[in-house]
Amino acid sequence: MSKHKPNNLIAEFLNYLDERFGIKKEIFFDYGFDTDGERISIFSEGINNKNLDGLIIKSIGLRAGKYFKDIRNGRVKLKISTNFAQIFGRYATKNVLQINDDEVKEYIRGSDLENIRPLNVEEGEVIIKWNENVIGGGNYSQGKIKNQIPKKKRLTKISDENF
Amino acid sequence: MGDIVIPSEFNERYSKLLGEDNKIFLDFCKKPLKKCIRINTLKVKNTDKFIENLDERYKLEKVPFCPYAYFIDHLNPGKMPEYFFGEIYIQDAASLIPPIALNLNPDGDEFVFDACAAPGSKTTQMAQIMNNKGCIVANDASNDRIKALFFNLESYGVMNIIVTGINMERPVPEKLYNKFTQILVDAPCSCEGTVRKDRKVLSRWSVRLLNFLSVQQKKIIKNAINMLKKDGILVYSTCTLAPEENEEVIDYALGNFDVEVEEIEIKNLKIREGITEWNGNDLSKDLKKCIRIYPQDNDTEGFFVTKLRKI
Ligand SMILES: C[S@@+](CC[C@H](N)C(=O)[O-])C[C@H]1O[C@@H](n2cnc3c(N)ncnc32)[C@H](O)[C@@H]1O
Repeated sequence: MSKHKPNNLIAEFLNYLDERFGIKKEIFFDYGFDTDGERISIFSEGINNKNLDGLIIKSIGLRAGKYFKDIRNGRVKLKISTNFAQIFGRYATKNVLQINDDEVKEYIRGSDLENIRPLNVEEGEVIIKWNENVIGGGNYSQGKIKNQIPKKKRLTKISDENF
Repeated sequence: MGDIVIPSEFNERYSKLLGEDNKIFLDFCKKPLKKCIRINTLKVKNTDKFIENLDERYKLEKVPFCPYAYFIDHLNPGKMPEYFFGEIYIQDAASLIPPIALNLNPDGDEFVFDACAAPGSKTTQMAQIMNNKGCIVANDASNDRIKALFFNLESYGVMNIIVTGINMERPVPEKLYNKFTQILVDAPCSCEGTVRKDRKVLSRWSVRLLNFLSVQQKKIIKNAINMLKKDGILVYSTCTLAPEENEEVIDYALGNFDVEVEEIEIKNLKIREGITEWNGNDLSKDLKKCIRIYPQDNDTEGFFVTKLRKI
């Protein structure tokens, strides 16, 4: 990663959640975090007291977010994962964007959303909600939301009668 | 859809095992499988409301032996929005049994090893039974299948998880001995029991294959037993009904390691006892405590499940 990398990636991630979405650190009291320098994972604290000697570990917990370089300005930024958003997004108090029934159908199929005029939402990463459901994260800029749902997770063939 | 061709040797074997019931068994093998969904309680917090909402849109029928699973009349639940949200997992009803048989503690701090975990149906189910507490080590030898495992673990919100890629046929390092409180060995098998879903499975079937798999399964169970703590529980399961892959594997474990078979008690599940004789060979009488799930008994896939305790 670049030299812009924050020294303490996990602390930085927790600060980001609080500053950007109002998701407080205290929520994660029962969890641990791990990072490989790029991705941040969250895991249940039950893992902490286990003797993992002898295990060659491929991954721990669930991917919560990652650091990436913004190609437009070279700055290192954070992004939360769709699955993390679906679990912890309900604690967000700001930069939450509600979408309607028509928009959700487009979004979970992987399309970007246009002509969005949300109130109280700053440019940058937002948590997207449909009714009570958190869909995932998205990038909001100038009336558009860039889709952040991983390709594999998109429901490309979902039919409308299923809603 | 063309009719399934039942190999004559397959027919003969089940005729020996089932007698008169063989006809109804073979009839069920040809019947399509009812779709079944498991409600992922790691994500769905108000199950009653969730079911009420689903019930308005689809015909649901409770799976009698599992409180959080339903048969559903939707032909492709993978297209439901609830699937996108990781709120439902598409899992055959019989495949729900091995995690139930482990009697995991929802408030416990257990250390569970899932020896053959991919794509993670049972891992994600165990995580929900454990309320994301304790720790599950989900292991699989196939890197390709581990990708599907990762995908499911993440979609279903599993956080008490570590993923490893140990080949369980090879001896495991001694550091891993006597480590886990529960182990699930959902072994690679001939998949006879999945014929209602995969109509081609019997075209690959042969007794030679069963014997080949049996050798592999014995190696896997041996290494898994080494990893189990004293007094710990190991559930061995397969989605096949072939005695070579089931009772013969358990008989080998009973004869060579410090384990005993325990009764499996699951309400509202129709089961048949394990067999104690095959191909003229007597097997341990304790194998009666193994359970055979025939498709005709609960209208599911075929399955075999055994619970062992290390002594
Ligand atoms: C029946 S499937 C497991 C299904 C899984 N438990 C579930 O519920 O989704 C058997 C798995 O065993 C894995 N396997 C085969 N040989 C293995 C070995 N020697 N060590 C570990 N895993 C193995 C296969 O890759 C396969 O994913």
